[in-house]
Amino acid sequence: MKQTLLSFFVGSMILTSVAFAQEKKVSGRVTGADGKPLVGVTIAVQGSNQATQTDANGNYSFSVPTGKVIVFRSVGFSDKTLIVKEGQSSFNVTLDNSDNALDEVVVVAYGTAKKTEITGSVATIGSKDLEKRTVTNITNALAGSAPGISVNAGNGQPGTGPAIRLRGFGSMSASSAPLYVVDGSVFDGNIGDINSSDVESISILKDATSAALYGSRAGNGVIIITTKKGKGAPKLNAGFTQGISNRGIPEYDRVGTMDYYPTVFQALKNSYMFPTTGKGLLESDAALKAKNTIFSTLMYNPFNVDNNEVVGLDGKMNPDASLKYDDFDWYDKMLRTGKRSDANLSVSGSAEKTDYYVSLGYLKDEGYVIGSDFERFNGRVNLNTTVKSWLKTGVNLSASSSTGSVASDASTNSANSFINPFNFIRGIGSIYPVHAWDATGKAVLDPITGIQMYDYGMHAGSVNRPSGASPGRHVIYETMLNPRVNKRNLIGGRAFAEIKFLKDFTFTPTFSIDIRNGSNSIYYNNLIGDGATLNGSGYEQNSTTKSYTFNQILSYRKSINQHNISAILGHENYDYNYHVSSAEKRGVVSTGIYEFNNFVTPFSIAGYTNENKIESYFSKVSYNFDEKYYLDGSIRRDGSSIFKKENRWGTFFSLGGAWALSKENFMKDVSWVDDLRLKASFGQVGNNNILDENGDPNYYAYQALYQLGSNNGAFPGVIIYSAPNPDITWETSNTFNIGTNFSFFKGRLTGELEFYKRGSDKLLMSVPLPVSDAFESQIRNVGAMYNTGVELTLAGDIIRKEDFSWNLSANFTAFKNRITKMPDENKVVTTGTKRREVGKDYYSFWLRQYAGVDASDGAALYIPAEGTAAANIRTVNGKDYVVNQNFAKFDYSGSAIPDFMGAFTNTFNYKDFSLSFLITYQLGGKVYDSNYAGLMGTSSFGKAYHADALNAWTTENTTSNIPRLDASNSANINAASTRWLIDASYISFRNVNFSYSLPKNLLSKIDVSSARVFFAGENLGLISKRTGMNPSEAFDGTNSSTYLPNRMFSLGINLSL
Amino acid sequence: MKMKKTLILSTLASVLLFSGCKKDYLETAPTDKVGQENIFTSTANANTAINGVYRFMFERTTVTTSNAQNKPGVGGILLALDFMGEDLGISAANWFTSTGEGNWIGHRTDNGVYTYYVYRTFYKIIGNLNFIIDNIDNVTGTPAEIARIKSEALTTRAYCYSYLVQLYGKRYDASAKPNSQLGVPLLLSSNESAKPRESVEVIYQAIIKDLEDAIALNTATRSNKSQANVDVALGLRARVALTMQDYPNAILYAKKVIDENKYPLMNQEVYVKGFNDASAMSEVMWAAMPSADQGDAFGSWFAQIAYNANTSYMRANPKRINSVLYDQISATDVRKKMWEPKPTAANFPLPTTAFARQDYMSRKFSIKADGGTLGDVTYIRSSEMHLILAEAYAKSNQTSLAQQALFKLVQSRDASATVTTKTGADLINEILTNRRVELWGEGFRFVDLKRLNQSLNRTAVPNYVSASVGNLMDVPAGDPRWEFLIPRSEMESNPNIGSQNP
Repeated sequence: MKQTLLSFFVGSMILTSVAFAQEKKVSGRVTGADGKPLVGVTIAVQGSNQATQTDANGNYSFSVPTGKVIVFRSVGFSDKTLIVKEGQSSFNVTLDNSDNALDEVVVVAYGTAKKTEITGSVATIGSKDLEKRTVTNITNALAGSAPGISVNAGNGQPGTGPAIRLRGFGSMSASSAPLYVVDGSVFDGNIGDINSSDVESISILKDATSAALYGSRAGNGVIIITTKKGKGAPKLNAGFTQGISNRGIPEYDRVGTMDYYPTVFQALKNSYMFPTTGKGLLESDAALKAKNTIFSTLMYNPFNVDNNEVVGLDGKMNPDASLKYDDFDWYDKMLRTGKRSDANLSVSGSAEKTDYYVSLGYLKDEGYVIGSDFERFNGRVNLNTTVKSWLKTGVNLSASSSTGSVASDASTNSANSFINPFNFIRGIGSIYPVHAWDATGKAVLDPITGIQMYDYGMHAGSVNRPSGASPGRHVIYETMLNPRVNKRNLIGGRAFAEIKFLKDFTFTPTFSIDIRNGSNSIYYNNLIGDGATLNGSGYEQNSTTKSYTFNQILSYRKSINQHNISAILGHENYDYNYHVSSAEKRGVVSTGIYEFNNFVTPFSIAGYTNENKIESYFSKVSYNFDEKYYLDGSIRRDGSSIFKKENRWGTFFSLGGAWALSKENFMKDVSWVDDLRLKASFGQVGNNNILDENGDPNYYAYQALYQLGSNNGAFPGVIIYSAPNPDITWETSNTFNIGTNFSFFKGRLTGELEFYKRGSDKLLMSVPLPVSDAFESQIRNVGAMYNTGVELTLAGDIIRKEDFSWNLSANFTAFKNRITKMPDENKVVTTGTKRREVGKDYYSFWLRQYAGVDASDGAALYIPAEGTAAANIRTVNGKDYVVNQNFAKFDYSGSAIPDFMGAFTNTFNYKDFSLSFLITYQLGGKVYDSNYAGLMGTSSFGKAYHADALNAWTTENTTSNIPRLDASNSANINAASTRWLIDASYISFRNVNFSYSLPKNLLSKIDVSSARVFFAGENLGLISKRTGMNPSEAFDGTNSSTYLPNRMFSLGINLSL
Repeated sequence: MKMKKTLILSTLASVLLFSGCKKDYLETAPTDKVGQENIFTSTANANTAINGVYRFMFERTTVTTSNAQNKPGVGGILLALDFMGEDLGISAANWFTSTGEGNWIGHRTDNGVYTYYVYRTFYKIIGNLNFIIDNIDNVTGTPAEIARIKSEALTTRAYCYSYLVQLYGKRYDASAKPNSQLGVPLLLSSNESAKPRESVEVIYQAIIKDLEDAIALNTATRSNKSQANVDVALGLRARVALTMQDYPNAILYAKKVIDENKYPLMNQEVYVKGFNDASAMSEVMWAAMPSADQGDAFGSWFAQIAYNANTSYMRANPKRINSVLYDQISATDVRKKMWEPKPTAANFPLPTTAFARQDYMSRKFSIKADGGTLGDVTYIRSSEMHLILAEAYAKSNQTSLAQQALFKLVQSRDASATVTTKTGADLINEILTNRRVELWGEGFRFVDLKRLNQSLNRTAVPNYVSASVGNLMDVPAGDPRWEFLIPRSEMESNPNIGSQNP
């Protein structure tokens, strides 16, 4: 199919080609490695649009100018070039299969390498893989793409990307995120600013030999993104995708409107029967009291019966009750069908000495929550030219400008905020309407506009919802009134000169700069919500990031007989500067204008600058003998501004070797083995990315500092900031990697199997100090932990026929994490639901041990802590328990780290059709489902309940495994405990892509060389243990009120001229 | 060939760039922080360190991110301590209930946020102050300025320890000296770390020493009432003496403040203005005084208790007074106007219809200006001195002096008041009732109950909503629950801490 495509492409080209002077006729035959003739091979003159194709017998004949390079190219084979010299007229050419992934050239640290040369572990994702994905942020395409990549489910907010961890978790108080490199330089921008259709490849450097050249910053792996270059004849590519999106994970099952009063009735009745102190009421008295007080606690009665008659003494809904209005679906009003449009245009090609790639992109992604969208313009020029035979230069310029509205959620630090739609709507009881209704059930209209008002307690006769139902607040109305806008502009430039000298040497100075401006503005209206008390307020934060890298690399490459040697020597400067200023002004003058001029009183004004610099020297030497035995070593020395002078310089290194077993004589006869190689590597890299308590980088941890801006009224003030530690230095990560790559049965089965041990030492850890000390914590190099893992990738053509093929690729990862060293003063550190201790993994849960329900009163039972006084023990069926959470025993309770995880990709090709789908899965690991715990809590009135509350213990249902609902004892009954842990296993249908390439004979009539239409789906479904729960929301196995990932369906078309 | 040579040369020249950058290339410093070495150079600079502490005391807490909104620094602790009593109530489980104060769960949950917040807030202040106290003698500046800064630091440190020892130790009992029950770690220098719990007696001795040192420095001048001068030290010294049942000293120091008359009792006109302006309120001795740009819409003290603060805590749950206590206030007493037994739109206007009106709701605290939740937070005022004086006289059987001392306060509140004729326990009760009315909402009730070894009894309060505090209605005197638990993180990170409270 592709060949036909190409032949039409070439055919049209020939039609338009012009005749050349001084031409020479050449002819010959093109065959494959098996000696059979190849049909439809393109033979083109480099740097011109002259081309032809082989006929049915593999023969060609062609007029070319002498001295020109001609290229033989066919899909599935490696290119071959040759130069037509005087006196030659016949060239028979054999093309080698390129099915073998090992022949690929991949981008590695400071250059490229043939995959065969790599002694470490590098995974790559090409533009073909990315084409299938309709993602706004390219990091979303990494899930499932290769083993050893942990990707959390991130966030459905348009433009955002997930967090990524390579090969386990390597750091504690320093960042565990990999380093991003874009076109050769460390990238400090937002990955969401990169247009995914500009991306040629993504290389994921997982082990030390691959990443060692990034030295002090490579401790958690490196992700290298490389943009496209022009190749071959001029080409115009246009693509347009239109998608719709909706919520990818449904809401938790919650108690509905008709069950709401009965649920709260139980919580009230139980609280009267079983008070925390004193004697409880008899059941009948408690029921009567509950019946008579329930309305005064819930305050709303949407039913057509008296306030005290909604629910009977039996706790059942009054059979005569029906709704006066039906207006309880807040999500219905908050969510919408998202739309995503993506248009791209690029022109690329390469002439004799110059290659170019120019692109423009436009993307608009409107999220499925109102007030969340992302619009981006991208432009890029990649231009390389050979000025002289010894001098090549290139410039790579990119710009992007994006504007987005951001819904508030956990990722914007608003997990428990009233303006977080997931928090508000998930949490509001099912009897509270969206709009205002009067006592008779009539809509309350705004006297001016005549439109029904929202119900936020402001209309005449309104009552406030109780505290659990966000009284006086209204997430839908507030979202409509409060724009939150993020803007970003990014300009990036890369320029290099490549100077060849002495024959084998190349000197390459490169200068890279990324400049980013960001602006976040938030408006709070003066009518309702956070701004109401301030008469409205406007906030704006502006930042500029300037990051540049200057490096100079001297490289040497030489082959003598079978000895191939290459080496580089480099020097690099990195300078990062971030400036931010923010201001808030209060008291809005006129609605609808969000500029500071429209406000009265200046409020807070702040700003600061951060600087981070690194200076480095590095070198790498690679040697191979006859492409059979490979050996390489690298070393890098970094000086970082993050550490004190005395501890500033660190040295990092790697050593690797590989053996191409299949090239040995004794393997010659094993015909089914195409390629088999073994490799091993060891190296040490570092991590200097210290984070502060908010997760922001801390560049100054060695200095004794006072925080400015702690002014007392008009008097300037400072306050101590953090405990300095002049001794801190890099944490180091030692990785040992051993693996094998193979290709069997003529490329029908390929794969890679790797084992690794990544030990992190001198871990930067924010060591908690005694709470009575001046400082909360101090950053020290104290901890150690390791990750060991196995990774397997298998790809194979299950069916490989002329018209039909089925390719299955699968990857599989399992890893174990162990803490091996903790600070002497803090052998054990407990934070949140986790405890860190030697011998345990980093995400081990440490929780109260929940032990079930006491059938006699529905109390939650916990295992008693050792030494609990007898007075606090409750004996049930001969066993000791406690019901007061303070006396419950804490213990290790599993881990958030899964037993294993992996992905499958199936690709089917039938004639011009192609179908692929990607499934990712995880087995084992636990989630502490705090969203569910919140829905089961009974600490406030007016809140929502999980549907499980309907099955809770009652005096009629004493065998329930769910403790009683109790409005006054939620603290004990619903305490944080193992009750809220749930299996994190899941299967996710991540992506499907179905495409059809239009027939060439049709396209040729309109002078189009290829056209492809496709349908793509992202996040089609998730199977997990509980509806509503997102098991991969965070690596630490917790969840929150997060903008849930979206599900997207897209239709697209790609045209090439 | 020539070209090639130049090329080689120029390449080599650029290779020389490998020699690297300037030596100081890798020296960086933040722009929003300053090095400690710059702080303790002059009194002007050292002064910023003490002002930073005052700011920390009124600002939305940074020691925890959990429910930080209802933790406006030290003010948040004061509010919580009042809500742990029975005189300040709300209508539903909200505000300080869900975070464990009203239901007495927070301070008894050792890994909970509330006890950590209280403990850490005071120790963070102490940590800052210790650096000042250690370094202030060596900075350049006039002796008077050095003395002033030192005196402020000592007074504030004593203030912090006085709360720590009252909350984390068993109550001080003058009849059981020395009070050897466990108090809290005592850090008096910036070099100290991981100290064990000292006895309550030792902590009180340290508090007294700090206050008496500050009193000896005798620095009265200050820029405004946000800074702790000698009068604050005297007032705190009287408060501490009363807590220790040391009546002679309570009388001595309270009387000193009263006699100097620098903080005359407020007239009735000022009294009803909302307790938000330390400059206008003559009797305020020490207060947080944020400027307009330092307000916090929700994380401020007034956001939690000002009747007209437009916050969800206040709109749905106005703070109410114990109706029994209210009913004991004379009709002619200005303090009767601080609460409204039957609020209506006419007698209790509210900013918007979204505000709830509830019986006995308070109007004592009001925001300073529209469009915010700002106000000055009182830490100590002279009416407390009158109450201390009256109580100390009464407890030491100087009945007529006690009656007169009480009358001095009451007459300014109630023009038709007469000198009480009560004696003995009745007199003490009248003084205490006045104390509850006068200091309502200002952070005294829990520590008063504990100091007086009384039980908490909310069942006697007709308008107390048991659901608002998880049905926690009574705690007997002497119950272990009167002691806060030391935060678990302290137990785990301080190897010398010693044992936990029962």
